[in-house]
Amino acid sequence: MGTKKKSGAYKIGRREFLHRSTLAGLAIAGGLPKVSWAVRGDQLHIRNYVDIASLDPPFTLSGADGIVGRAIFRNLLQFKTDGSWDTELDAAEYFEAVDDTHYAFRLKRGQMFSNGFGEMTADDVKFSYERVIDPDLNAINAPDMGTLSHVEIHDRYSGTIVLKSPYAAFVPIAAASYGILSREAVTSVGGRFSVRPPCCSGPYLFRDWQAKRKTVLERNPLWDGPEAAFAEIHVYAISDAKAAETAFEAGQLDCAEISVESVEPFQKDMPPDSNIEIHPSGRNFWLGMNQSNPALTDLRVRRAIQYAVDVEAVVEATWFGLARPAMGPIPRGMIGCRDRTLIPAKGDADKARSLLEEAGVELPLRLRLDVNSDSLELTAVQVIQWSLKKVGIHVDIHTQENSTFLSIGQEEYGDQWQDIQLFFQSFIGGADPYYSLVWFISDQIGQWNWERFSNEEFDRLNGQALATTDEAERDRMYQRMQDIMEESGCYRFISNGVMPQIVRNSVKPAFRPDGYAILHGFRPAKPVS
Amino acid sequence: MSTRFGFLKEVFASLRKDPLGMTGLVIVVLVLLASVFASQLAPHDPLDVDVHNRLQSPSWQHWLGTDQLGRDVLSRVLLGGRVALKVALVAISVSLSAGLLLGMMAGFGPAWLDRLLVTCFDTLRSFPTIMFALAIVALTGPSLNTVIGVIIITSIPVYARIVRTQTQALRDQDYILAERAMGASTARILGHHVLPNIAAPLLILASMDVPAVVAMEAGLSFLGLGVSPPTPSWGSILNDGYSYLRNSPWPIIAGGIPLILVTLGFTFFGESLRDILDPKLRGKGEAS
Repeated sequence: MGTKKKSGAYKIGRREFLHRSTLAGLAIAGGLPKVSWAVRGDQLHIRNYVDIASLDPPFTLSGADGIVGRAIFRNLLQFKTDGSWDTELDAAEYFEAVDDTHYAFRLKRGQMFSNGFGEMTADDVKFSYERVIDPDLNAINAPDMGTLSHVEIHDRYSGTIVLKSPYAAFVPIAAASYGILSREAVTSVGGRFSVRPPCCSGPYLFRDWQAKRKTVLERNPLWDGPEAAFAEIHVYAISDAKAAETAFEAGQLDCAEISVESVEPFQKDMPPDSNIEIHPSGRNFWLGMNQSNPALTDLRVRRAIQYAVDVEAVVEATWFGLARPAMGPIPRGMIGCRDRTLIPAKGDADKARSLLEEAGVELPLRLRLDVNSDSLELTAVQVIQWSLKKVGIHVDIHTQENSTFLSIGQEEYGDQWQDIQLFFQSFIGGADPYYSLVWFISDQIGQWNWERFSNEEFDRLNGQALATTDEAERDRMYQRMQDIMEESGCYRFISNGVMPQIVRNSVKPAFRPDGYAILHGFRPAKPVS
Repeated sequence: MSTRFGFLKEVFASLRKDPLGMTGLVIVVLVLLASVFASQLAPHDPLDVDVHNRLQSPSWQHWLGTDQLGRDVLSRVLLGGRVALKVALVAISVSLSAGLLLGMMAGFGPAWLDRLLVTCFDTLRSFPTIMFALAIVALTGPSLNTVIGVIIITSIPVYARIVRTQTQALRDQDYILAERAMGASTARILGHHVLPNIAAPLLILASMDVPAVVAMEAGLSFLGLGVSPPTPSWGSILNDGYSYLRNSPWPIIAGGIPLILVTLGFTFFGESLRDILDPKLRGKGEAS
């Protein structure tokens, strides 16, 4: 509240001004008068970095869909809410690998779908899994199911998932990530849906979706697990981190991912009853080099670039010292993450110069670097540009709008992939190391493998690592694969970034190791009055 | 020559009587000098990265502080001025010349040519500039030349439309008809009679367009559609400033002030020039 000065003048603080002006704006817009002061209590208001696009598991498009989906659908298994990649039973009361290609499961009894679609059965599991690989459905996420063949039903609650060949990523990518849907419910809406699910089974129910604004979830009265902590969860689609920060300051959000550059200012002037948590991110940032471009065909030139880039400076400038240099595409905490890189993060400018000299390169060497117009990535490439300039490589930065940028290396969009020399790229990995490396196999040349990197051993290891369930063996293989990538000179790994979150002290949040929120894991920090 | 100098003297004398116009002239001259001698005036290399000294507040070493990469903001603002004025001068010169030519052709040529050209002008003007810039950048990639190209293409119809109207107003004047009757060529009529009569208002318009073009360049660079990093531009300085506003307000202040100064300077100067050169407005001191 504002404070009255002795003179009678009314003083209003910046935060209060934001709070009140936001409320006034919402009220004028006929928007959300009810959410204003009810943020506290039994509602959770949280930012999602983009609006949901599809909640139908075979067709989800972004991590934002997954954040909502995990709260409203039950999976056979789920990730623990302790920030690890460990899984625990969810809809299943029993789940075991019989061998490398068979997973037996038994569902808990009495798990009800909403909207009167009855109890969850093994047939619903069969339906939910097999529809992902149904060629008629042509699901965009079909590759997630890997080598799934079919699901055998033993009785109303139990069955066996049968794979055609071993698929090590099945548990994290499929069993712990794919919601089980009611066959009857999905069939009743024509076999697929987008953002309005015909039924839910998780701790929360889908209640409402307002395009580009928010998704509202409510406590599921049929839920038989530990009671959902909040009566309602309002998930706001706010793509601009600055807008989310303002909304948080105005009291409209309980939790929001903020930009890295805002961490320090917030820490100096923290909004009341709030704190910042720095979570690791599953994103992989790297400098790629198209080895088929005439300027970069010589391995020595590519290695010179690797040595010239001061990753420590890039990371310091871009993530304000919050992130660490990457060990490779596989982030820390996941099987296959290396404990060292072949080229030191600091780089070695002298070594770079000698490699360029050895290659007989006429300096200055002029190269083009493509990047999308995101401010974080622009900061990173300018430090890379500065690093390379020190060894005589002049870089012309070509910024492009994100969708244009994402097409430049793809052969289906024309021949511009031939002109790519250097590029700064990033993507969000998944819950298994397979997801971090599969984009670099030879088959991906012309799709996502813009470096046009091709290595027989790498391709072989990719297949083998997916086919073995021996974790130590997988770890060794994935580490070797990243060594091969680095040896090729096509990659300079930069960082996995971070996801800073600002959270009200009244909320105890839950996040996956890749920084994504687990909504059903959020709890009030103290009992709700 | 003496007549020309006499005219300039008269203009300058009139300007001295108008404090706002004089202020505008001083600002314009200062901005031009700062831009021309930017390399000499810049206290630091504007591209020199110093990560450990990022987002510093103003100090004796960095008068306007440093940006997110530790680069000296003052040096970047000075170099950014050179980019802004280069874009303005090149874009306005080219679009003015092309607009003059096309406008006179439309205004003096046959009716079918007039209709064809006016349709082209209106078609070009119907594209929102930013959307047009986005499309061009998607095709060619962002660069200073792209910005100049976009501004030229979107400015030509503006000048051409005005020239056409002025030319049409003149072409039925008695002295033009007399020239025609005496067998003067179209080129002679346009060059000796039409052009001198429309040059003054066109030049005033061009001077007043400078801030608009500078703002357009800054806007495109702010959106990442302009000059490529690390080349400084006032728009990209503003963009960086916006991203790091919580950390330091100085980059956004430093990027904004020159834009305001240029806008004010050229507007004051242009308006004053218009009042002086347009006899109808002399003594009124107010734009129509």
